[in-house]
Formats: sequence, C-alpha cells, structure tokens
Amino acid sequence: MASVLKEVEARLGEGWRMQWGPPPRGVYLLKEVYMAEPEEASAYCGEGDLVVVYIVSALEGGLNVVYGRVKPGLSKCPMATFMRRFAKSEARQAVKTLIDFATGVDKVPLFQINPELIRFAGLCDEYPVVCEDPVVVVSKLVAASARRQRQREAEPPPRPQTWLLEELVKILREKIELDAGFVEIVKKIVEDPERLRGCYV
Amino acid sequence: MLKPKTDPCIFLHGEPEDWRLLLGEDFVNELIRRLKHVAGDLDQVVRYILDNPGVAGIAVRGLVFGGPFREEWRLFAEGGYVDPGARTRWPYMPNEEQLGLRIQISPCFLLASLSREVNYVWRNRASSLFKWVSAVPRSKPLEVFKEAFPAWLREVAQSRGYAWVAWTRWRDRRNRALAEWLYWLDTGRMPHIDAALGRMYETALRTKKSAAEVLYVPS
Repeated sequence: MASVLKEVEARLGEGWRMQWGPPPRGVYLLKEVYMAEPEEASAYCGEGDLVVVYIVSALEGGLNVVYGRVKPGLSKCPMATFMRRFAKSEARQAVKTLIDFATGVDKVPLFQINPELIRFAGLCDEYPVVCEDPVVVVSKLVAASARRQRQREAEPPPRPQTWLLEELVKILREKIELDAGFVEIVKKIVEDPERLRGCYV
Repeated sequence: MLKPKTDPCIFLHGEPEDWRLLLGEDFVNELIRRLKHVAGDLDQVVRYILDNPGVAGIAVRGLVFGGPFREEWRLFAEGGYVDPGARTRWPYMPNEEQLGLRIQISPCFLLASLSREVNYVWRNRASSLFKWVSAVPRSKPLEVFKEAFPAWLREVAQSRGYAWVAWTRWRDRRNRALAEWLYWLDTGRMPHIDAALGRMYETALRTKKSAAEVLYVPS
C-alpha cells in the first residue's frame, strides 16, 4: 500500500498533499459510466493490500476536479486523496495535470474523459478527438490528407534523380578505387561526352 | 451568496447586457474569473458558453445560491441538471392543429450534462429532433440546429407567429417547447427571459390575429 502511494506521489511531483479519506465533492474527470461502483471495489479489498487513490485539483472558489477510478462512496477500501490548490486562472493547467496522469500513468483511454471538462479548461485544441463531433474530426483528417496530397502533386520531389546520381557516383568511385586507369576514361568522357557515342555505334 | 433573478437558461441567452442585469455584477465577475483561461470579458464568456453549453454546469460548480430561483440553480450547480420543460407563457391562441412533431423539451435542456438518463430523456421526449441530428450536439448547438431544423417549420413560425406554434398540439399536449426552440433559433435568445424583460411580445405576436382578438376567446 505504502509503495503505491509513494509512487503516485513521485509521479505527481511537487505541491501535492496526501490525506486519508474520500475526496471532496466536485466534477469527475472521467465519465461516470467508466467509474466503478464502490460496492464493486469493496469485493476486491476485503482484507487485501489495496487502496483507492483519488487525485484532486482544487480550484479556488470551490471547484474541485476529481480523478479516481471508483465513485466516491461507502466501501471497505481505504481511500487516499492527493490534493493540490490551483488559482482560478490556472484551470487549464489543473485539468491538464490530471489528464496527463490519467492517460500517462493509468493508461486511461481518452474517450473515458469527460469532454465537458476539457471544453471548460479550453483544451480542445490539444484533444480534438474528445471535443469535436466524430464527423468533424474525420472531415478534418480527410481535408488534411487531401492537402498533403495536393502538396505532393504540386512539387514533385527531386529525390529520385539525386538518388540516381548519388548511386552512379558511388559506382564510379568504386571503379576508380579498383582500377586507377579508369580515371583517365572518366576524364576523357567529361572532356568530350560526344566521343562516348562513338563507342556504341 | 448569489441571487440571480432568472433561471440557468440564461446561459443560452446570447445577450451580455441581460446577463449583467439578471445575474448581477458579482455573479458575472465570478464567471469571468472562472473562465479567464478561455475568455477575456463577458462578451467572450457569453459566446463561449453558447458554443459549449456543457461548460456552464462546471463553471457554476461550488457556488451558493439564493433568491427566487435558488432551487433550479442548486440543482444545476450540484447535479448539472436543468428542468426539461418549457418555461415561456405564450399568449393563448385557440388552435387545434397537429404538427406531427414530438419535441417536448426546451432548448434549455442543452445545459444538462449528458448522462445516460439525460440522453434517454432527449431521445424519448424529443424524438423528432433525432430525425434531423444524429446526437445531441455538444458544441455550437445554435448553428447545428439552425442547419438541422426543416425550413417549413421555421417558415411557419415566421409567418404565423411563435405563439401559434406554441398552441398547436402533439397528441394531448401543446408544442410550447417547440415554440421556444424556434424563437431561440431565430433570435439566439431565450423567450421566457425576453418576456421577463418585457421585450418579447412584438415578435411572439407576429400572427395574423391582432392582440385584441387573442384576448377574446369565443366559447
């Protein structure tokens, strides 16, 4: 139990305070359908070593953003709440910290996060998949790929030609390394390329 | 304690001056402070919430309310829920027409946070809406519904008046909520708030009948 709490503390970084007990009331970071019922959790932590962790960003003025995988309520599990105060103007950072923890450490998929909260925090530009209508996301992706396609068509990449030249130079260099007399031939060709045609006729 | 003079529907009422008037300076300033990271002044706050109605429930979380509308505000601030019923008292017009549309939810219900139960209420009591949109839009609902509502319905409201629509029938009920929708789509304001400010009646009574005839109901 202690090791889990230590790890959470280490992941969160500075400024977080741990207390035992359920979190204060507030808005949940996850959609409620994806949070387990307290009775469900109780079944797992009868006498085991499990602890339910809540992480709370407390914005000044009574708005708490609560992240936890289990709905706060009566259960057999011990509960630990990590809390940090944020100024009102830091709402964006407060929510971002929690999302980073949820998706980075707990590997919660993005679609389980309450989109209204992301809108409230003004994080829509960072998580467009959560905020926007799927139709909008798809149409944007289509538009982006079309734009890329057009760019590709507009300026044909010079890569194949230079690649060919580089290959030729490499082959020539190898030849010259093997046979020093080959330098003379290359020199003659460069002096008068027309003479090369004579070889084939 | 904040004592707003109107219900939470004001969040869909795109008129910053009315916000100041009805919510009071304290409340408005608190909203600006809470949404500072996305909006600089009241105009931007109004626009941001109108574009993202789900944000309103989070922005008022934790505030304490009093005044005549405290029950509705408490429900909204603590549960993110608003009453789905229509709020406007439309002037009476004898009317037995059927429009064949089931929209018994006020646009105000867009503010309710979209849980499974709320979704059920939408689907059940406003099933006609979902012929036009696939889901309840969570951003820019005004634009989405302006596109989605059929043109004939908007025209009926324009030509015969919102009050006329309000007294048409759906089964044994009246279409009061539908009239609120049409008013909201045309003006971007909530009709009952306009009515409370004494501003609505010239538009609501844009009907074939004059106001004097409306008062007289033949028995």
